[in-house]
Amino acid sequence: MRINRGIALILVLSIFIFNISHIAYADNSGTDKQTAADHSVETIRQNSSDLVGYDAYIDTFKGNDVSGSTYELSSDKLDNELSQNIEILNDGSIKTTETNSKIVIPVDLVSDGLFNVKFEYSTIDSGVNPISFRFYIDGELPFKEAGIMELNRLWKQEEPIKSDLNGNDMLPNMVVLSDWQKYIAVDTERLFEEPFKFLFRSGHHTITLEFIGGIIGLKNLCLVPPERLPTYKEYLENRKDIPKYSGDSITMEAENIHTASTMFLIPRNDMSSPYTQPFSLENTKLNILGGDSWKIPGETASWDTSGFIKTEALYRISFRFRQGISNQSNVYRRLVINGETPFAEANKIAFKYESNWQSEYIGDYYVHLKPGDIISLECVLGNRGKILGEINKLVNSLNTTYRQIIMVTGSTPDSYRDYSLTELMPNLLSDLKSEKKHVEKIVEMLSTERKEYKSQMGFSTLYDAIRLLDAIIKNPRSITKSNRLSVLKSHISSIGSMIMSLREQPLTLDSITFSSGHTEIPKDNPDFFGEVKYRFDRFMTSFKVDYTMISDSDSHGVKVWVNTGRDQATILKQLIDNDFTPRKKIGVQLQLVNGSIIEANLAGKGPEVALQCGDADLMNYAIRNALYDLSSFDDFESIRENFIPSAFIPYQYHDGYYGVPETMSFLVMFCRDDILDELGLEPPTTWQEITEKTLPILNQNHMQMGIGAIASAQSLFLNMLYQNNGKLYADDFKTTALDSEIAHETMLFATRLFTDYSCPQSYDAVSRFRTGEMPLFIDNYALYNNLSYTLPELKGLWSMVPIPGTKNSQGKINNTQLVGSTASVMFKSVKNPEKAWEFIKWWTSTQTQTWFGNRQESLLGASGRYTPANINVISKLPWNQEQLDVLQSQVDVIQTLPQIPGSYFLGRALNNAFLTTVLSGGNAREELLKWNEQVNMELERKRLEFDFKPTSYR
Amino acid sequence: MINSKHKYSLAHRIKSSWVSYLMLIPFFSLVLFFIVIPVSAAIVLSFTDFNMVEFPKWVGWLNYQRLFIEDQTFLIALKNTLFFALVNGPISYIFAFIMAWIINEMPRKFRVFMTVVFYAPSISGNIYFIWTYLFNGDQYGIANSFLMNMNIIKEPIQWLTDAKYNMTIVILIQIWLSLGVGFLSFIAGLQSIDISQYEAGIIDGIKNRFQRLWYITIPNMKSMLLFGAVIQIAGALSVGDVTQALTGGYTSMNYSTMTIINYITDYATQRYEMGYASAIGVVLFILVVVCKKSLFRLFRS
Amino acid sequence: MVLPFVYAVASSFKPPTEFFLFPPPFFPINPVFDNYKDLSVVLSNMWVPFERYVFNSTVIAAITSVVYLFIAAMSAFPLAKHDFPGKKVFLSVITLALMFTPAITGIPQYVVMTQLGLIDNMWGVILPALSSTLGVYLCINYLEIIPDTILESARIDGANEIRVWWSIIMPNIKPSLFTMLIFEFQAIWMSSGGNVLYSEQYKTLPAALGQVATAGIARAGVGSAASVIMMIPPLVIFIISQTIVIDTMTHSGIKG
Repeated sequence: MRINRGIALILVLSIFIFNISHIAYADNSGTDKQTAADHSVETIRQNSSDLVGYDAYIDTFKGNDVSGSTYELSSDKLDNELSQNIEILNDGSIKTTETNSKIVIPVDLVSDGLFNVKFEYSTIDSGVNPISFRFYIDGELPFKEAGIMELNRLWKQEEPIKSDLNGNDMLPNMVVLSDWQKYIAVDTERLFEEPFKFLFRSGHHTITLEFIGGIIGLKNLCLVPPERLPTYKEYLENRKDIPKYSGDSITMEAENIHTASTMFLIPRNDMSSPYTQPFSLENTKLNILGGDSWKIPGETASWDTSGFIKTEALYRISFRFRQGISNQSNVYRRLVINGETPFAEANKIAFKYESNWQSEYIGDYYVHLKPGDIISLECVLGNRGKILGEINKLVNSLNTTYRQIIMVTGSTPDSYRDYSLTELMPNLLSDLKSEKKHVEKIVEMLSTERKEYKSQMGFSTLYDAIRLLDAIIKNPRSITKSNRLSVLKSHISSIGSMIMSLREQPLTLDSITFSSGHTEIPKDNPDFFGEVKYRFDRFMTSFKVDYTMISDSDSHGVKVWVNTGRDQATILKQLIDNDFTPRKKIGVQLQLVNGSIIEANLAGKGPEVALQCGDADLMNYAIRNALYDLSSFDDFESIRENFIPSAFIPYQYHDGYYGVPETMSFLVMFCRDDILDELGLEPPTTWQEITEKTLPILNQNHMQMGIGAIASAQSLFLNMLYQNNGKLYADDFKTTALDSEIAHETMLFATRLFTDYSCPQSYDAVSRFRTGEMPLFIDNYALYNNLSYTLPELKGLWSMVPIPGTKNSQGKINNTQLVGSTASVMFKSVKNPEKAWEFIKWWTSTQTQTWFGNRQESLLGASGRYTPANINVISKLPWNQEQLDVLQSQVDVIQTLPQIPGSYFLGRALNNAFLTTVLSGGNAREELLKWNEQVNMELERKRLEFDFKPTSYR
Repeated sequence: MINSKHKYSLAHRIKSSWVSYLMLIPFFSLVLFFIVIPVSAAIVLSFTDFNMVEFPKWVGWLNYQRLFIEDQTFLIALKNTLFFALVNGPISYIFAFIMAWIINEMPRKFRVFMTVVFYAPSISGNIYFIWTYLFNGDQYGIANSFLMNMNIIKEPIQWLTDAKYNMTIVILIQIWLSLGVGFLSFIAGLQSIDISQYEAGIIDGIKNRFQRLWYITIPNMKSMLLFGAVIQIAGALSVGDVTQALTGGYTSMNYSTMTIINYITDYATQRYEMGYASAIGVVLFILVVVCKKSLFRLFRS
Repeated sequence: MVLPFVYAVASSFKPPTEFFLFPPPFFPINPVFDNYKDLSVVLSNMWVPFERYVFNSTVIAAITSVVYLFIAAMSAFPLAKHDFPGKKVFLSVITLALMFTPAITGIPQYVVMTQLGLIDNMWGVILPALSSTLGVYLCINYLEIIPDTILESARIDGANEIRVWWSIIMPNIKPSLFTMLIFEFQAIWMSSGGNVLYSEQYKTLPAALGQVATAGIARAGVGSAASVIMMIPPLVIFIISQTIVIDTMTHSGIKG
């Protein structure tokens, strides 16, 4: 009885309390929110983007006359006044003189017409990035996609694939060519199967071509009416007199490419089948092309048939390939011969899914080939293009709706409050209705393709989304109830992630065979017993082969340890085998170890050189006399120019230098330009601007800015301190300088960002960036690639800028930051210091680091972009010009901190001070002073222990 | 017993026990190399200053002096560890026993299944991930978004970072993880109790399960229970993995979840003061031994 | 209770793109088998064939578990049932060993192993594992339940100690033997031998699979599939052993 009464009492109390809290909450924020919401919705309507997408552009011109004649735009017609940075060569071709250039040409048209834009180009500079290309008609971009086109560079393998002394194939280098390439203006994402059609009304127009990021040559620029490709029947009709091939099958290995459109299309080793050629049980042979590194639409590989095709005839083409990764659906390639697509069906050749290898003909087609023809396969979206385009639009529109809703309600709305959404957002219902229709349309499109999509991929998400939208449309108030808003958000994310998976088209190619269709072609897989035998053979081989990677030439090679993933270790080994050992004649014993160096050293089993050593560890080894002073080598000074001037400060102890930097990561700020535009904001350049302008506006609209998780707030604090011209250590390095006024002010400011301005303490940047509720955040610059990869629907809508700085009294903005780096070290126990030093020099050299960085990216994909410390390397990685400018501007101002004995304590002290202030409401000054004292005590202890004498750091 | 103590001399007794020694040799030679020698080395190290790179320097009692007289942070670690042990120890122990008993009372078909269910956390790899997932500090993290949607909190809570909460979370998780060896050995022990004892009990007037539990099962399991308790104590005082993996151990806010083990790891891996770390280890060891001895006395009664 | 289990299995069926979602959905929205297929592709592409890692792990785990059963039971017998000089010392060594934390003994132990030549081969993983005192302690406790009278009668019948051990003790401590098996097997199976094994061809399955997973989020799905597969052998051993433990009902032959 007593229990029952107790429960009843509790229930009543809780209901009471709930209601009171809601009333209180509602009262506080009522009026403010109304007006803010009004204002922001207005802003949205006014500032919406003016540019249409290509599909809208093309739709408006349906039914127009398409006929027209070709207009050649030769260089003598150029407008010399308006064009920038170009010169005209004797043969009439155009050459740009700077990495940014503009070509302006007037053209007069006789009648209306749709035209493709065609030209040939060659890349002349030695950059590695694709070149951005924009096309303007009469000074304006006709549609959005015309502003984000790209020209690929042409790559080839420096040498044919060779083996090293052990019989393992060496990975060839990719070098860039400046051959002429044919180009037709096409969507970078390949969402649209056909090249862009630009509408020109009759009369006088000015065409502008803008190129950013490279020096190119240009010729044969023309406007052509869109061609219609012949169907296969027509194609065959036209070639009645060409004989069908009747000889033996001719097989070409796919890994010997002629050219590729990206440096990441490299041959790889695949040991999953004994029929993959070239085959070896014991050695690593490069026997396939592609796989994970050939999956983005637009990537093209070409092969030269010289030496294979000897007679002109009609051939059946077959491939031995593996396509087992892509959601059990087809993967598409476009077949191109000598730069032209032979017939319409060749635009999207389907490679079916199967978990094993396949050896299949391309349909029933006979292709006309002559000796010396160049065959290419281009990754295209095939039937998925339309669907992807629709999903892109859907996600963008849903994200916008979501964002608009949050501007009114915040992301966790009060379910007892009436936000009057439908009054504040009159378009809400119609938007939701059209979005629902959109989802239904996508479901239909997927269904008609359904026989391709064996798995149910995508359907359940879409059905769920339809149901949710339905429910909201019926009762708009329910958005704020039972979590609906966050469910909506997660549906948006799921649909968005479909884009990623639909977009990728990985294909692994072993060989290409030309035959008559009646002779044998390479076998796909062995039967069951063959498979078992193969596995057994490989297993037994593992007892014979020496995997310890000692290169033959020198059995007392340098012993090197790496601590990374397997992929990176593989790349390093390849580089050592291909380049270091042959050139320097020094052997290397490379081991991938995740254990402790300390233990190993104690037992005498440690390495002589260790890579990727962290700052703190390095100093710990150095002060305990475990490391070799690298400055004792004569050419030490000469390698310093590869790094920023202060790069060696963390590795300096007393007068010695104990490490050479390998990687260096720093922060940048990522911005959703489209959202900032809507809100009338610019990316902030100073912290003052952030607190005075940016954050208030963001907060009003229930948006946030990410300044880093609170658990790593110490780096935020230190950066701000240095921007304020403060210092961490006193000049004599005996104590910190954290008890200064500057430190205190900085601490106050930094903690206030979390407490007063509600910067989130912990967040998932990617998902919030996608929905736009966090249009600004600060993070490691290497995240750039992750973002491009994960958020392809946002292409062109966001950018990377330097982190905010602090304005000093003269008005100059100081956006210094302190960077973290890893380094290579040499241990005192080294047997042959000279050889070890050669290795370290080689490893940190520009050439090696570039190779390593690019290969890592081609193996690991987008998230694998390397962050080198060698500043010459950064520009050799595929960043485009705009990004390079931003990165360079940060590199120019970064600083490093010296590591002194006891400095390990600093991190946790700052953290504790910070956390206590923010989470427990402590007093910033007191906390700072309290922990500062602890740090100083520790510094003193360690200083005495090691008899540390501060030196001048350079 | 084979050899009785009274009648023979020591040498004779040793000679005649040769079989016993023979049977002990395989195992104990391993123990010698892998436990006795390292432990002795560690104890010796506790009297030195050893930075793991250079040769240790003898400093006598200096480490212990510093530990007991000067070190404030050690007290925090000690407090945390004792708190954990006192809360966790009994709860996990009783929990393991009760679960084992319940499973034992179930019909035979279900027993294996239920054991698997309860032992599952220990088998799955990477168990901590699920908790970081639940208690993520992001406002969209599971716990946070649930509480915010129920309007219980307005701002997301940093469960694993904030000193106010992280201790509690770790205790919860530790209890959840506590069904390990002890649990299994209880089950094994329960299985081995002779049925005839139960039958005799029924004759003597025992009516329901609970009486059976108290009067027959528990007395018979005495040695098992003691075993479980020792394991539990050693485990409870050696908590380190959970705190390290989830909250950062020695980097947790204001050392709020740092246990003695974390403290040792800090000194060993971060500060490179192996001598001091060994000294702390020895102190921990003594602490555990003391607890064990008191447990033994408790169980004798 | 089974949450991590379920989560691990659920993640292994998630398509790679779902790992980018936040908060990560518990159950896959679009379950696929791709991760397992990809795993076999990734695995077949390692320097050292996958089968070798399986072989290494299996050999190490099998040797350790089986040998340990015998060694532990053999040592437990005299400690529980015999009386000899120094017995107390041995017993206390066992219980005390449980109480010293590995964080500190790690380094001296490594040095010992180097001196014994145990680095970089499988014995460096097996031998230390065999020195675990937990199992012995468990057996001792279990042995005390067996009444001495049975042993006496066997001895009177002329059996020597080893026979007594083999024919009487061993069959009767099955529950504790199998409990030990579960434990030792799982511990050794999950161990990656990280500190000791440096050469690729000696590494164990967890080490290899761990290297797969560290390649970043691109391999998150494959990593999940890998950890699910890793869980299967201990699970199987567990089920078999527990069944034996639970089904062993002591017959009244022991008492009276």
